[in-house]
Amino acid sequence: MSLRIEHITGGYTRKPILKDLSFNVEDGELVGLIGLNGAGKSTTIKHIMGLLEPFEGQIFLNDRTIHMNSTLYRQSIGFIPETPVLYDELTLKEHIEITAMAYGLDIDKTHRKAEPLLKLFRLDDRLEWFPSDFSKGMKQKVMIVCAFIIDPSLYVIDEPFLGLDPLAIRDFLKLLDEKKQQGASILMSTHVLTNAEKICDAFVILHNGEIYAQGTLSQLRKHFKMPGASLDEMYAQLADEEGFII
Amino acid sequence: MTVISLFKQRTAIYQKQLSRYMKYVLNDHFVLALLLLLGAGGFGYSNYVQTLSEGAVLPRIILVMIMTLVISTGTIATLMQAADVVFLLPLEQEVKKILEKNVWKSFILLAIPLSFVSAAAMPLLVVTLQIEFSNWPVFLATVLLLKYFDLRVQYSAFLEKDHGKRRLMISIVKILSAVGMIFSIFVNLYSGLILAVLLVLAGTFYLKRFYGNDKSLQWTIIIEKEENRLQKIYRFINLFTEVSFIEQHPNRLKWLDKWIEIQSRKNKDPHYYYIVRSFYRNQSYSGLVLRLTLIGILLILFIPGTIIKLILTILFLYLIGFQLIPIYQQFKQNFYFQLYPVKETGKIKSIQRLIGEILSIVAIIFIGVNLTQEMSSSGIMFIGSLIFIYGFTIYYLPRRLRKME
Repeated sequence: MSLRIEHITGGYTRKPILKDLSFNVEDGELVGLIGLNGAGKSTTIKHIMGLLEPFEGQIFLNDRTIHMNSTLYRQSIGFIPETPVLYDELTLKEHIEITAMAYGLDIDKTHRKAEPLLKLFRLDDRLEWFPSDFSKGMKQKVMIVCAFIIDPSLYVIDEPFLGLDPLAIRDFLKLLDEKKQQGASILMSTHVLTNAEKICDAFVILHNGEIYAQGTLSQLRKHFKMPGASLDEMYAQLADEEGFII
Repeated sequence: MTVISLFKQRTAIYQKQLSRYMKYVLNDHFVLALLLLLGAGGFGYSNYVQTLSEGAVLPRIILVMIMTLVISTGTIATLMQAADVVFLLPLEQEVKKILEKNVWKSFILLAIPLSFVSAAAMPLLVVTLQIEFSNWPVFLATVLLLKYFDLRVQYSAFLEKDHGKRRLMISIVKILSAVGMIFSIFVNLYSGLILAVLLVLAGTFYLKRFYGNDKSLQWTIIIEKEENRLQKIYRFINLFTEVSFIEQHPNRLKWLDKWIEIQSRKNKDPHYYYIVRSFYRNQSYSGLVLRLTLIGILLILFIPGTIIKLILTILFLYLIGFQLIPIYQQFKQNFYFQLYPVKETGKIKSIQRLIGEILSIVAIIFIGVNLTQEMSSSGIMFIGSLIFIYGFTIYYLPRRLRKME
């Protein structure tokens, strides 16, 4: 029971952006997907979500590919996109209902599940609001709530920290930790390395569509030959190398 | 809430929005200009048809092209939204059913303009094929079947993951529509109909087999297409009234850089610098001028009579000038123009200059085209356009633009 990515080559048109990617996210594991802009993080996520189909290779979620049963596959993923996308004409309450409907959950139960989350993010008195009137941070909170109420076995989270206030970041990290304890697999792409270093169990560093390095922090230190270095320092090293290439 | 009710709600909102905007579109004196244009076009067309004889080839080639173009225009109104890719992913099978229903809805809606166009084509066919007007239903049925097939392929393309193949499918269906029209218009109406029936039967069978339930929807493609479709509608409406959710996708058009430089000469005004580039790189403006200029050229070439030519020239200059007015909104969308330490009047002046220049170029083209045919009417067209452009840019524009503030 986990996410298994095996030799994925893929992209938007015929030109591959991802080249022979392989990594796993085990149960109860939080893996950070790290890379510079344009490294292929969002493309990887689109392949996992089944929004793009790989040219080669396979993606297994709980030992099933999307082609075996697309509904089941997709029901097991909670997705928080990079920029919040919400329905202009639906209220916050209706966003929770549509999520329940789409994931085949009981509406009342879902509302009950949403309650503490809404309270945590201070959205509980805004149920009748249109999220399009929210600030970017509040919209992001709505995306987080909608992903957590479905209790998926895999969370796919694309750069969640932008726009969130420090309090919300703290609460969000706590939530992630809780879910991890409960056995969920989490894949999170981010540029905020201090947060990543704090909570991720392992890292996948993408560079030009290929895996540059992967493993735990200590494994990465070995790879970069930088003992005791922080993720930030290793990342800077990668950026410098990028400079040499161009 | 179910998916069906969700999409019902969306349809209702979409229709309400469109009908609200249509009021602005249809209320304006623009309708009068369009009616005039339609009248002049119809008059020219009927004159033209009378000069044709049985078996004339060139007009039928043009008709095939026009009909193919009309059949290929119009896409499925899927009403999908960006958020669907997050919220509705697990409901793929239900969404597919709704999309298939929307194929039919779009077909019924698109059938209306197709009936008009196919009826308008009949006089030409009556003369060149020596048939009766009562054969219209046969032609109409062919056109509608081809359109249905076109939409059907569009839907299947939503299920095709390969970018190249998707394009190929769309190109093939256009070619097939053209072939169907060639049979109808050059052989006889029944051969075209038979071909269309066979196409729909064989095509639907094939598509059902290869794009069945095992294929998954290309969500991002569908959403992108729907956004493009809506933007096209909004851009059209934006010619008449301000639409808030318009997005701009500029085209770089590098080859125009030299020309833009020539046109701006040594002008140091930031307003003009910005607006002249917005005009060329934004197809809703430059494309519009191009289309109207082409239609104008055709009408001026084919319709005889000095007075009519003069009216057409001024009418088209008016249409182009009038529809370029919303370019003023470019300044509003860009908040830098509120921060720059420049004079307010620069906005209006730059638009006056741009529209004056564009209209002059178009007028020169019209007159140049007419010169190849006639000398005398060209002189009158020249004087007429001069007076119109002067009056429009110096007197009308500043007042109108100030009202928009």
